[in-house]
Amino acid sequence: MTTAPPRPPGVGTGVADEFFDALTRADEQHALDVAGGLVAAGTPVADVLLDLVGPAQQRVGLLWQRGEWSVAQEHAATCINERVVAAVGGLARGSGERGHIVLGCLDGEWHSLPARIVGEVLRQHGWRVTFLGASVPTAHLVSYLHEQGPDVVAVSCALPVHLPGAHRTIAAAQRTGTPVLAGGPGFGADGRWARLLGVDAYAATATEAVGLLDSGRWADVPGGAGHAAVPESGGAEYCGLRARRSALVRDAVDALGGASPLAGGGGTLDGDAYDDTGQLVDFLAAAVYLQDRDLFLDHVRWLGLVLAARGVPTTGVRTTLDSLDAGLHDFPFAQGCIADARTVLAAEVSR
Amino acid sequence: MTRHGVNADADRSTTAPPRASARPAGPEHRPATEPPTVEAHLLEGSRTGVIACDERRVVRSANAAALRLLPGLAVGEVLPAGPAGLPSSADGETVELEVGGRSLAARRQDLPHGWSGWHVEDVTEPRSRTDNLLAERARSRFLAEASNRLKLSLHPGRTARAAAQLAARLADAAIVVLPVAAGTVQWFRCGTDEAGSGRLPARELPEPVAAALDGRTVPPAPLLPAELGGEPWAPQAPTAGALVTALPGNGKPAGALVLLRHGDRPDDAGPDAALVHEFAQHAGIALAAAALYAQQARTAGVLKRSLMEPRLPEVEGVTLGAAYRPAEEGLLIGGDFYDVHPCRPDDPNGTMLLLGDVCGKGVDAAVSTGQLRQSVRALRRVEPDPVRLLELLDATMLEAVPEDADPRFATLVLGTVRPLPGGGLRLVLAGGGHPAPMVVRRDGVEVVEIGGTLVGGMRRARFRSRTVDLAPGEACVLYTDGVTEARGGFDGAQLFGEERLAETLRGCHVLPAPGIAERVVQHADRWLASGNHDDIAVLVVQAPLPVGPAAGRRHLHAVTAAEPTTTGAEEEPA
Repeated sequence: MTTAPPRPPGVGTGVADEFFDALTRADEQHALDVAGGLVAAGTPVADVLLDLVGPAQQRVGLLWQRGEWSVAQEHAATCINERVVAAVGGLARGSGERGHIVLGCLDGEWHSLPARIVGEVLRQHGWRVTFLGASVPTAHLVSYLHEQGPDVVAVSCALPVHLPGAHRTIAAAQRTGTPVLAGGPGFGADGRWARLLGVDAYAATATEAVGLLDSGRWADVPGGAGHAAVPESGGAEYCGLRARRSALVRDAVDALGGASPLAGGGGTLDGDAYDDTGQLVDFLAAAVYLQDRDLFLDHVRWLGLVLAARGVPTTGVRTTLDSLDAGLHDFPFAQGCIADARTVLAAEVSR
Repeated sequence: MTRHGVNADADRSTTAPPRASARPAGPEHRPATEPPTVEAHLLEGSRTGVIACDERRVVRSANAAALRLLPGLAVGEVLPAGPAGLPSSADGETVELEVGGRSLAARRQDLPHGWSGWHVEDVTEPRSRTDNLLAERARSRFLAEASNRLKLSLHPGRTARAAAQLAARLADAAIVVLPVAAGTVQWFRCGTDEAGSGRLPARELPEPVAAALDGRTVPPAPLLPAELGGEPWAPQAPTAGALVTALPGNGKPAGALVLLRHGDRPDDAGPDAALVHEFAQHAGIALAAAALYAQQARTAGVLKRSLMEPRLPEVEGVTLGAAYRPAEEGLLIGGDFYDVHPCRPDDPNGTMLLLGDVCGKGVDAAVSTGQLRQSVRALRRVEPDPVRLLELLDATMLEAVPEDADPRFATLVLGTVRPLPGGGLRLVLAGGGHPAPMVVRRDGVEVVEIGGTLVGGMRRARFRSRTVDLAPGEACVLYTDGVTEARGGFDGAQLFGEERLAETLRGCHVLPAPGIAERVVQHADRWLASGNHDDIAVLVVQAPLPVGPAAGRRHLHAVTAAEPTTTGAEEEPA
């Protein structure tokens, strides 16, 4: 009779709850102990990252969205998670023999944890991974690609507002002859915006990225720059909108008497009035760039949820939309977006 | 083109075929004795071969052109079939055939009584004109594509791989060999469904390849199969032959290209020599540019490494965090700097911190920061007091200025960190004209005005110091003016300013020091409208919360985990 080798423990609910509890209390050492304990007991590093750290981070985001956690709490938990990824990743090193991947977040993109997790998972699968960090400037990325000549460059984008900038980075990377793999929810739920921007490959999850890279289908891409479905300039309406950005933001802030569109009620979401208004304009610009109203509507819908969770009325957002509408009377696509956004907000209010 | 006289042709062919009598005459067969009609003369003069056969495929009539184009043809004999003859085909159908090195197009025509006619044209010249045109077009397309792809990368490996992929279309497989470096060569191979790369000792190179790499043979030279054994020359299919070409570079070849033909097509003429030559020029220029760039980047990398911001050391009882964003982002170095010199366990002077900004940006400023950091590292051995150390540094910098140059002054904060007996940290900060540090307390943010004048800018400079105590969890944030002077807002001209920075830091005592540093850079970066900014550096010192019993640990504390792995090209502080 043979005895099966002891199965390494998976990431059960008990462990996940203990880990999340440590994040809630900002107890970094305990979080490290829980994750490190799993690895010591034989759970593969990739499983710990994908089944423990990843879902915990999603819970953190959800708690902030619902207004149950403050920004500072969310930041503290995210910092601990980043430490856990680095520490757990350091416990087992891959061979690095499969090839070299350079990984980074797009310029302006500061959500680096998902990219960090993907990087560690790829490392575990035998790739040599260079992680360039959050918000990598395009010039930095391009000089790095020329110097190192990696097999593939992977870019991560969490928010679609960065897509116009992402396009410039992707095209610049492709012009070095390096195939670009895109990932992250910023490229749309099904990666449709990644394809519009002409990336060489798109992976929705870390596991998908591993499979795609192993298949070698990325290897023979002859510099895909110029395969994008949208022009790198973004077209006339986008350019016009960018040129008018300052005036649009100033007029909208004036219309709200200097307040943020996200202020009001007893909420805590209002940041800088110009910052918050500017971001709304930037989402609108990104929707115009990709000629996809849903990009703007998804953001407005999400804002509605976040504001409702904090008891903040959407009047500020609606006033801002009115002001943008007036300032963009000769921008047909943007007008369509704004009209739809009003409907979306009205539906949220009536619910 | 030869013109045939009607009469000469007429005399030679149509009349009185001597063997025509061997077959029964058809109804329309004209007796040989009759004089030729005008139509017959015209037919003889035509450049199109015209043949008439009876129902048994016996040639009954053929004009001069037909006899010339089809040498096996004879009136009175069966129409030849096979490769050099006319196949059976339907009425009106045109068949193409190669006879005696010429391209012919033959169209069949049904005649009465089961007879058939053939109209044969010589299409050799138009055909070859078209073929040449198409080939020329394909060549231009190939070279245009090659030029586009070869100029993409500045990395020698990637460029060599692209060259091998392109050259594989000129043969069954292609190998690009880069010049010898340290006794080995790097090769990149690409075939129909295979690709690979590797290294090889230079002494194992076949002599013609070594000669091409040395620049001893310039024109394409053939390689014998016997010279090509094993990786990377003949890993799978047997090689019938190969051609080696030097890829011309700056002065000496930038590489060698080997084009391989497989054994199953021994009679193939091989790649077009002119095209190979042209391609070799393109590939050579691209490889030479990439090699030059790599060399420059390597040199710059070595110099840069000593100027790049240090990886933070681990200091017992202190949590540290830092963030850095140089203005010239492709460069990774700039005029802002920070340093942490941990103290030895027996050193009462404490850990030394340094953060500052040398006037200017880019490489020039970075070189100055390197000198300044090195001075502080040396001076702290003899002078532990921050204010007196600043005075020494000031004098050192002024002395180092050449007669004919402006002083390269700096603003900086220099301080010591010592643990307090009851937990927490005591910081003594000395300043020289630098933005005031901020202290993140549990109940708000405090600005620490230090004052002082620029360092290294003028004689009789005055420096002062302030003492700051941090309770466990509290943090002191040092930053450069790249943060507070970031321009953004609705018109891109508003300064980020101290007030916004203080607002950003409020409540951040719950974050670990690296989180605070990243938050500052993130907010300043978001504020920037244009993307152009000055160098930005942030250094955060935090007093760790005490480590309690496992069950009651409800706090952040000193980090012992590995630092996140980043680019790796960082200097380990001594």
